[in-house]
Amino acid sequence: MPNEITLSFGLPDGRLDLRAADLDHWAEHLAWCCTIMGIAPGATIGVIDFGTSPIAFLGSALLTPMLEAGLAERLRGRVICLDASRERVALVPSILKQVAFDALCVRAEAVPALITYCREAEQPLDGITIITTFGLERRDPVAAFPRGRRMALAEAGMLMAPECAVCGQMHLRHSHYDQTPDGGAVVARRGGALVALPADMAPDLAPGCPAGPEDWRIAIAGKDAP
Amino acid sequence: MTPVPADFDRWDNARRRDWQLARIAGVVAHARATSAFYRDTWGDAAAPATWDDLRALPIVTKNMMIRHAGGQPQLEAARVGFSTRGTSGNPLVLWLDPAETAAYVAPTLRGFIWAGLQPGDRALILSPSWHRLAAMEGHAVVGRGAQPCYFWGTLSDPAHAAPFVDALLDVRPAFVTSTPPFILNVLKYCADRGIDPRAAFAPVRSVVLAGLALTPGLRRHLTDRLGAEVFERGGTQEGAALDECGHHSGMHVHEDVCLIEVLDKQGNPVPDGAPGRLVITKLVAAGSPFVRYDTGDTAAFVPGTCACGSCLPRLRILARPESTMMIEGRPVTGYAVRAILDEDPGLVGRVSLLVRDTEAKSRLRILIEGAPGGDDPEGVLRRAFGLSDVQIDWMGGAGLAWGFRQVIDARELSQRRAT
Repeated sequence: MPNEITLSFGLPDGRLDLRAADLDHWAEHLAWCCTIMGIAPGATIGVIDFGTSPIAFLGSALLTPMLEAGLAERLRGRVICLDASRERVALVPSILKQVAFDALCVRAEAVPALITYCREAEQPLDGITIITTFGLERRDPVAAFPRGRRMALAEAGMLMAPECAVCGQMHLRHSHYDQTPDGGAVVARRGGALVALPADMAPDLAPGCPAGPEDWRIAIAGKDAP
Repeated sequence: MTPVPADFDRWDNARRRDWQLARIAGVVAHARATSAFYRDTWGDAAAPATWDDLRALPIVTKNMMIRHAGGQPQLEAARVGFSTRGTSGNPLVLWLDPAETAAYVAPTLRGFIWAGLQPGDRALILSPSWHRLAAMEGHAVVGRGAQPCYFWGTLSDPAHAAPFVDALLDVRPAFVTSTPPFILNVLKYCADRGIDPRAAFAPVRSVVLAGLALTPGLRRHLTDRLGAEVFERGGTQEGAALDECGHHSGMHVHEDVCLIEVLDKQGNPVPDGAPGRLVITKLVAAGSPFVRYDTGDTAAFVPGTCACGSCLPRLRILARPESTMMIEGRPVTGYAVRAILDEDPGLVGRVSLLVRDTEAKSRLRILIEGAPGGDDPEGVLRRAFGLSDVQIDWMGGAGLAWGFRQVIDARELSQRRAT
């Protein structure tokens, strides 16, 4: 494998170039995020997101060249790529009738369409862990499903901060991220741009969550899913 | 799995057929071992040892698979699932595993080399999660020693032409893969913002397009507007894989991974050049099995041999049943209508849909985006199809996005206009 080749991903606000070793570093982190959110090994996970979102391209080594092991390989599970466009979200109810999903990882802006199409098709989402991913620029509360989890996602900084199934707060994994001295921004220890945190999301180093005793943690407000 | 010889596409027909037949027994065994659908469908039928044995196996369809109570195939190594687009009913979910990926990267690379991909190139390619074929693209690009680059967003949303153009200007690729509808949206985006598409595509040597058959007029239009050589790429989620060479005379079937039959309604092979049902057998004993699977497409083999020297047969994918209407006893396809409209400089590249109107069955009714234009398109269509009644509904400024469907129901059109 030619290690000098990088993969270049378009982002909403720029580009992200990753080498092979970076890809596996972040795939391991994504698998950790899923574990923190309570996703069990062997899970079948639907990804309702765009193809250059890390959630999608870290999904499997079959999708992304130079990635040794993606989320599916690390969890010994499966991912299904479902895209976040309305045209594709409209297909999800039919797919749910064919495949038993353990989790759906849904980009926040696609949540209303998902709910609408499932309601129209009388296709319940019961029994599926809905993971809503949201950007930090988002100012309105993020939908929280009864069995759901949320995950902050800032692609440019490769920030993936999952809502912990144990403590209910979002973990900024200590091994992967650091704070700026003023606490107003987060930076990945490996590549990635500085990610500014909204004022109401100041990380707290309060110890105590067994899922990640050294992690920074952030409390997050939410609203019930429509 | 035995590797495919590098000169496979130069083998004569008899040698390739022997090689394919030797693979089919393993493919059928894989289907039987993993799929309750195939076990129930085939019963006690023996593994095919001859071509007649294979042709004795029943042709299956998507709906038969979806309706079967056996559920998904049992594939331990599968890690990624894709769904079909659902243009003809419910989408079908299918599964990909490492062995299948390994098998399909080779023909993808073969097609990309035909289209001019060079080591060191930057290639702006389809998102891997878009389609099973797209998932092979990044691996093939890296296999060529080139750099895969991706744009933000989705091909399904015309608004994402903006990040595509941003990527084009930022990455400056030599090689691009996309779909015709999306590239037409990109051209509209450029026109709306005063961007010269030839400047934006200036470094691009080759544009490889999949997902919608190119009409001759559309190919000329895109070649002229983009200033790059346009190649057509084809395939299905169920395993068909095809690529055009530099002679642009039909897509070569990658027969190392798929067996394609073009059959009449009774299931008999049609002569080269004649349209028929496109039935595929995936020749890779991995991932979701597809044996004698009717894709729903209409296709025709191109007669004769290609000047490029490849012995792989060439195929044109013409239409899907849901994009065909019978008018005054004649089949009219979305492709055939587009092929005529795309010859008119005032209409080439515009979105057009056939309107299925049960209250006017003898009328060819077409919906076209934008203001009335072209040179008497109703008259041209009447003469071309030998029809007496042609009606064009011009959409004006109303939104009509390029998708992959080519027929809209008149009632749906009325509902959309009402809202």
